[in-house]
Amino acid sequence: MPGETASLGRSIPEPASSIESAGSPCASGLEPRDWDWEDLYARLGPGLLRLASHRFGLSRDDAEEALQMAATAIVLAAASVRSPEAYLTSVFLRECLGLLRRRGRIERNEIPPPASFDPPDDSCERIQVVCRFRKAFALLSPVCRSMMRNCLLGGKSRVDASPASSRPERTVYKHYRKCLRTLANALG
Amino acid sequence: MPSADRHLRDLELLERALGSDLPADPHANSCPSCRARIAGLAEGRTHLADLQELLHDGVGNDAVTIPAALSRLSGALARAEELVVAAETDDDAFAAALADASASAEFPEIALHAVQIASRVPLRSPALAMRIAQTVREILVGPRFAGSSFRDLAIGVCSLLEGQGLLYVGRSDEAVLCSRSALDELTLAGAPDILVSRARYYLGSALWGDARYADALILLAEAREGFARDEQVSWVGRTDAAIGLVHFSEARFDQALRAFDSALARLDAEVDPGPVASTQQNRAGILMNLGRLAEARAAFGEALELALRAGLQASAATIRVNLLGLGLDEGHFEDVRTRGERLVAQCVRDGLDVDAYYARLALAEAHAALGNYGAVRELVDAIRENAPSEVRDDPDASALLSRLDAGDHEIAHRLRRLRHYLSGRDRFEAAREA
Repeated sequence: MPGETASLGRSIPEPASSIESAGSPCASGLEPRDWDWEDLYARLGPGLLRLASHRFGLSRDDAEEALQMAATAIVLAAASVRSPEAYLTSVFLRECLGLLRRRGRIERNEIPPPASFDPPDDSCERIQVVCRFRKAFALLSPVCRSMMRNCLLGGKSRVDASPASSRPERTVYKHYRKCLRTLANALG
Repeated sequence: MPSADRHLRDLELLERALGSDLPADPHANSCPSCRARIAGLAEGRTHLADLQELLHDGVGNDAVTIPAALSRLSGALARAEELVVAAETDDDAFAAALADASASAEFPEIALHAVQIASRVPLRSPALAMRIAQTVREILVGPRFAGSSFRDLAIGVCSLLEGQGLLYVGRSDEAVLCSRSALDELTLAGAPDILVSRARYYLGSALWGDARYADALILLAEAREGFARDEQVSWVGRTDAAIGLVHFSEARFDQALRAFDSALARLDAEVDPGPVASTQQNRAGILMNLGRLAEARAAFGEALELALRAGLQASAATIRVNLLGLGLDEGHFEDVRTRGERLVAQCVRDGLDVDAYYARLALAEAHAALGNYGAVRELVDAIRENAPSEVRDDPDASALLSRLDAGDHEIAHRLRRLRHYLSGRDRFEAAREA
């Protein structure tokens, strides 16, 4: 190695990268290309599915999805794997955990409010509305206020609502329109 | 949430064992039982034990459907191996095999496996490794395979292989860039963790080659963690060996020894003879420099035995050269002379120029100690003429080399001084004094 070998000399001659052995065999004494991956999957798969249910409480479908993900990792990295059984198991368990976390997040977002859940408090808003109405009504004369209260809140006709019932209907109507405009202007 | 006064539930234990980024839990930190269970889960013992138990009980034995991609895997791996073997044979065979493989729509998948398998090539021929990486990448980047899901991953692994080759030929700054690019490409392509960990391992090695030790340690520690998560004990052992070299380079000899011991505990000599022999040799070198000569001899002996058993001839020659140095430290000059002459002849015959150089150096020192100054002068001429680049390019080593013109009474001391410098003994002494 440049720089390094000079000082390491023959005492420490092996750089880290040379620790890659030539055609290094694997744990079973075979090379990755010699392993029967299908057999490994078929042999460990059922137990792993059971393990997912036993340890994570995952459904069969979810566990199968995790197993498929582990198979994909093997298909991509088989030539780098040195301990196939341990690899399949550890990748599968990580996938199970990932599935469980994703599921947990989705459920947290979808859970309906419990029975004791208090709806948002809008009393302040309601108070504000009442205050605005009060202010608007305060702009009217006591007679007009009484007429508008009877008419708008009491459900009476304009003529019946008018305190001076002897007035002609046309006058009452003009009066009513004037009060309504005042209130509308005040309430925006 | 875990609390301080109750044991963690299965899932909480497993989350921590699988390396999740959960905040520290006071109970998990203080409870030996939970810590032991997390460690067991992390090392995979518990999963496999559970699995064995479930299989033994005969529960859940419903057959699983084998994914189609997995059914194709053996065939793809066999074709990838053929491609690498052809590359190792000669250029024509490689060109023919590549033309054949690239005509298939499955080429990106075959290439992905082939460049992973070819990680064994740099050890024998870094130039060939770089050629494989470049040639395969050129085909992959073409429009023909644009839609393949394997393509981007295969390109990332090509960069990884090229980085390995660059490191071996000593272009460590380029190796760093190439390995970093591989890490980015693989991460972006959503590579399985084990490939990302490999990219970190090689980037860490390249950073070590570039003398950026702190960065190298960070990358190697991340790689180790990744390999451990995937329960790849052999890879963890290799990474420990690399970490040991970084510690050695920074004169932290005790830590280096611990890392080498850890590597040897994880590597299986029957399975990975090359890495085990290298690590044993590195460990023995440190012991020798620490003056623990008996332990060093035993460690070199083990490494030599393994190298010979596994047919690692080049490794065996290097170990024998180291044994010559050990013999000089022990004062066995006549023995070093006898074995040294045989070893120089053998290294020259086998084309092991660098080993031949260091063997001549030891032989010259033995002759000088025995007063055979005629032989010393001949050997010194050869030592000065045939200095490998690692010596020629090092100004301090060159200075020590130029001082070998000394008279007979001085030469033994100056040869020893050069040998000690080249074997890293100076740094041991400096570290000891510090």
